Amino acid sequence: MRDLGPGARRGAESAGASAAGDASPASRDAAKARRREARARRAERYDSLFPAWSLALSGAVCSVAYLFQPHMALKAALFVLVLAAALSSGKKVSLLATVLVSAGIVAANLLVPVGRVIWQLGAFRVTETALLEGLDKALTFEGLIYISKASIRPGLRLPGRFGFIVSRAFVYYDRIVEYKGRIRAAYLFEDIDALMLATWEAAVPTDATAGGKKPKAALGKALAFGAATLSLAILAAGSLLLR
Amino acid sequence: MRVKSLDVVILLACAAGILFSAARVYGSASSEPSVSISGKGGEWVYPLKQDRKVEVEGPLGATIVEITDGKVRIEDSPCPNKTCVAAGAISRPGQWVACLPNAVMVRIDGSGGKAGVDAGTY
Amino acid sequence: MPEPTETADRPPAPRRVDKADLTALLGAFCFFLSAIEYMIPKPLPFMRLGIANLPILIAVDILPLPWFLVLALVKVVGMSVISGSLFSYIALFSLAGTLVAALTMWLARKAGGRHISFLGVSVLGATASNAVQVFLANKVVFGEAAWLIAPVFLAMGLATGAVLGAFAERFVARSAWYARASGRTDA
Repeated sequence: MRDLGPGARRGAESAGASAAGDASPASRDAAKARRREARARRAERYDSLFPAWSLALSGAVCSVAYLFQPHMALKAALFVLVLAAALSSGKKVSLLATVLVSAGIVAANLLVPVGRVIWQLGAFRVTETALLEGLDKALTFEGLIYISKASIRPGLRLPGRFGFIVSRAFVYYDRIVEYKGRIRAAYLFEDIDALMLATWEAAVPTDATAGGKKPKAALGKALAFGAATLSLAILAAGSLLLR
Repeated sequence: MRVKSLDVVILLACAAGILFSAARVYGSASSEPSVSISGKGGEWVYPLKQDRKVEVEGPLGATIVEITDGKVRIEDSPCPNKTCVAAGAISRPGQWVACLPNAVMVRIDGSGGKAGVDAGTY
Repeated sequence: MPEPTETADRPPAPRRVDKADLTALLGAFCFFLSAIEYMIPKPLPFMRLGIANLPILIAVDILPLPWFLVLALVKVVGMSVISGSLFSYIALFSLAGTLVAALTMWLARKAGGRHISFLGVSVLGATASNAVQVFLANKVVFGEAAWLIAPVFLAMGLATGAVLGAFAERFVARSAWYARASGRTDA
């Protein structure tokens, strides 16, 4: 078993950082940096509480329970809980993106009218069943994303040879991001070739060692197990309510 | 670079496929026939190509509208003469069938499908 | 398997390429290109362009099929874990799109032989991948409205696929890295 380790986290953040710092005033950059640090602190607290695999398994169960939840009001309530979990885990949460994507999904579903007409604008009719379908799909789509964010952590160890290859890939990724050479448009092929050679040819990759604080296993496992059970219970409740 | 023969074939085939799908999708958009049912409580819309059974409440009771196989008919209605049931099935945009005593009207909208010559809906 | 370190003076010695290591390297470039692709604003954020499939395209001649498929999986699983989206529909789109692209590219290359270049392989892979994603979008999120964006999305795939295919064709012809990765000894 190999740990994805700090390489994965660092690589992702530096990739994000290199794109974020682009023609914004200094104060906005400072605010962004502060938010990023706050998220990193939250993430460390979260990851030291929950063992990575307990979270992943719990997330899998919760995802299934959420996906099949038939009762829309319960699903909406679950969505709020899941959103809170993702926020507390220090992952980047963009409410704007969620609203926009959800609006798009609802709009797309409204295009084919089905059910009782609840509003009419010219020739366009907003129908009840289509609206509810759209809302359900949007809730499902975004909710699953947030469950994933709260349950799949960078410290997750993938087993076996496959896990080994993935973790080495992250080591190489780290190298790519740290590459000091230039990629010039006029010499695109040569420069990219140089990048690939440099990434590959450097010293033998030392496979990432486990990083971060050791999680307090018992409490974290209990909480993860509790969350999974709760989601199943709510699934049962929803099914019964709609019987 | 040398472009090989299959490259050209693939490029042309994919481009043709995309143009064809564009014509089909944008040509017929929002002209899929739909079933419009109006009753005392409001209006309902359903796609013609999906089978379903709809109950519409009226002053006399529930009128049952059935959509099957791209055709619509009033299956049952609490009116005395049941002329609406006897009127049979409609399938083309512009056609309609109604149960006047129960204030239920069933109409097919849309410009897709085969519009009847008699129909004057635009 | 550790690689011997080299200086610029010595010509590279012929060596057997560790497939696992090569897969990891190409996977890393998939992550990198995914990160770049993420920056490009797209109206449909979860439907992928094919830029991150470029390493898979290049791998089609230098990795045997099992490793080739492992590379596709590494790309999908790695990105899903890093972005924390493993259990979501996003991962589903990524998995379906990438696997279909990989299999299509492999078949196209093997069946086409001398008559097909990276250009055709890439276009076919991109088109198949995008078609599958549109189909999934219809089933899972958008319903019938998915067909409305299909022609635009497929056209984007064709354009991206053509550009990437042309790039791959030129790159592979002159890359020293590729020469070593494919097991040849020329520098």
